[in-house]
Amino acid sequence: MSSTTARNDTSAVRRARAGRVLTYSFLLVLAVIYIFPFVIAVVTSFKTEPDATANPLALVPHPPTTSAFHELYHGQDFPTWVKNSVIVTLSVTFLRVFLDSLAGYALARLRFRGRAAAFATIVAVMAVPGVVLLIPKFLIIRQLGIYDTYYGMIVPLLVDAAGVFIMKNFFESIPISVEESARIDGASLFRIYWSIVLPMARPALITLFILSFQASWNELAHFVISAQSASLNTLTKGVAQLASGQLGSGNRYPLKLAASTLMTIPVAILFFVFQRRIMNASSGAVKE
Amino acid sequence: MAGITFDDVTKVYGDGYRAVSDLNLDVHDGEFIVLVGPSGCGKTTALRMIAGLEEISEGEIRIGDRVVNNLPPGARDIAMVFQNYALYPHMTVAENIGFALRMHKVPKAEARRRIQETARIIGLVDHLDRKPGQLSGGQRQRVAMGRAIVREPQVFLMDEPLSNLDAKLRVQMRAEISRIQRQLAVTTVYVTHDQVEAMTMGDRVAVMRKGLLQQFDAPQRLYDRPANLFVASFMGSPAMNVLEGSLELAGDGLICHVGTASFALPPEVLSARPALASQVGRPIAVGIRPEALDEPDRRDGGDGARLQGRVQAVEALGAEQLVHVGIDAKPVLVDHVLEGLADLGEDDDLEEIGIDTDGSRATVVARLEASAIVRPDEPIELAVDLRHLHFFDLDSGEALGE
Repeated sequence: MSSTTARNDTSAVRRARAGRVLTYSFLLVLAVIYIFPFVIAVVTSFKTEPDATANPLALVPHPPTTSAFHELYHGQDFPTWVKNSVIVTLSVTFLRVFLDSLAGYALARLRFRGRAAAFATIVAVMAVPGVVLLIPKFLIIRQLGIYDTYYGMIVPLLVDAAGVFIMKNFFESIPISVEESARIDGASLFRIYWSIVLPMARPALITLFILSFQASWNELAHFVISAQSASLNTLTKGVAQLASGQLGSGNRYPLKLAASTLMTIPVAILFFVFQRRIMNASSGAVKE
Repeated sequence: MAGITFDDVTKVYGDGYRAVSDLNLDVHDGEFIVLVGPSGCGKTTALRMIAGLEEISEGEIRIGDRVVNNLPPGARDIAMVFQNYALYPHMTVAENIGFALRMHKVPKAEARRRIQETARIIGLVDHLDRKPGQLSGGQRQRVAMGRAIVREPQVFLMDEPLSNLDAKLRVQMRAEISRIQRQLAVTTVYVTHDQVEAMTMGDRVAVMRKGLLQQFDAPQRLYDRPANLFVASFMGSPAMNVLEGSLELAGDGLICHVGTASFALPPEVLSARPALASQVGRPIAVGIRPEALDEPDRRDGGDGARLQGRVQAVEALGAEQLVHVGIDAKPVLVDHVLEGLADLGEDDDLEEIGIDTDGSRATVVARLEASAIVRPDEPIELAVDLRHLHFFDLDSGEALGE
């Protein structure tokens, strides 16, 4: 009796273990598939062009070289692209976080006529694919006379519906009594927003900051329609032009992928720096 | 410092709901008053109107001589303690306490001095650099108090400040808030649904129900002379026993019938309530507090008034015991009574009374000494202290005979 139970137990354990191995193998394969293109990009950026052409999927460069990076730095406008990307991304990110949170706060807390309609419109905007708006945006930017300027590249990106939506929802989760308490303490509306609500919204702000940074750093379509001068090329646009092969001979894989690799670094750093902060929500305001 | 006056104050919400109707209250300078009532009675709305967090639909609220109807909350010179404390989680205790001072541009040195002094009063000097998340519930409650104290306002407003604390801490903080209020002598309006807090803390207590003020009086007066059935049931725990009865003329005196029992009312009861005589022949509600029932041999001077019944349950509380006794009498189960009971959280009692809604048997609760020997399911005879009977009109619920 007891031996049968024991045998049953061991077979059950074995079955469970086999299942686990299977599950993890599957997950591992998936993970590798996802990360493989990135690994190839990094590796290829250290290859010579003949090597990259002959063995595009080889995981070890033969021989390893940094010539692609040299070429990128000396032979291309890479520094200009970086400068433009940094200017545009930082302006967009900081202003977007500020403006989205202002709009979100207004929609969450202020009572005004048309509030529901305004919010519904913003949600509706999220449903419209960005591509649809490219040509109208181009026309408006031209009309405003900011085509081919930083303004044209930055201003249309300053507010986004999803950000307003995120902030509104977060502000609504803050207990209203905290704000009422500040009102009684004599704080003005803007002071409440700035000194009480924004600090409490830090997790949401950080999330929005990362999303905005990443979105504007990786933005391409908008820069294509808002500027044409080479001096206003961002990283995305510059790399895209490399990739489209207008710069002459060969497939130039190492050059293009060196640029891509460098491009991902800032976003990666941002994620590493903030990933712990995102989880760290505030507590202790109220007793539930 | 200043008193607070409510002058026919009404609050109607956008959807037409009348939260407060024609409220008139006169809170004296330095007084501690408690607004009490079941949820939805309008007490919190009344408080928030003083604070300026709700607009006043009709009427006028004055703090001192100043009409505050249209002043923003920050300009009313009030401080409020919220039920959930509403601390600023990203600020230290010192910053929390000092925020209002910062908003009013109090010079830094003075602000520091006042924060220190406040921390001493609330006993958190060693915790000034902590954040609210690092404090216990009781400590957070103190910070919320401190934030109010440091302002040195004309009025303290407190919205159920103790309801999030556990029972022991609540008793301790109750005493503490009373002490601080006496020490600072700031006019205080305190909202609670807990009649024990109301009884123990208020100089005067305003009992509200459905947006209407029921009675505004000293706690003992509310207990001894409730103006109506609602106040009678709401104040006191265990609640007053309310039974249907009637009066009969007998010579110069009156005889009160409750179920199968009859009591001749002593002359002093009649002289205190001359209007009782006009109720002869009509059904009325008779209220008996649990402590007005006792073992027959303990109640000397005896008018011989007795209630016969059978013990249903005994709750021994150490110093005393609460005995639930089923008697032959009709319980009064009008809304005034049920609402008063329901918010005491005594659902069990409600159920016990409610079992026999067809109405020939009622359960009364008697507060007996611990030494009394009572066992469930045994018959019991209770002496009734007729001097402490209460009489109410069955329809209106108003107290009779005053």
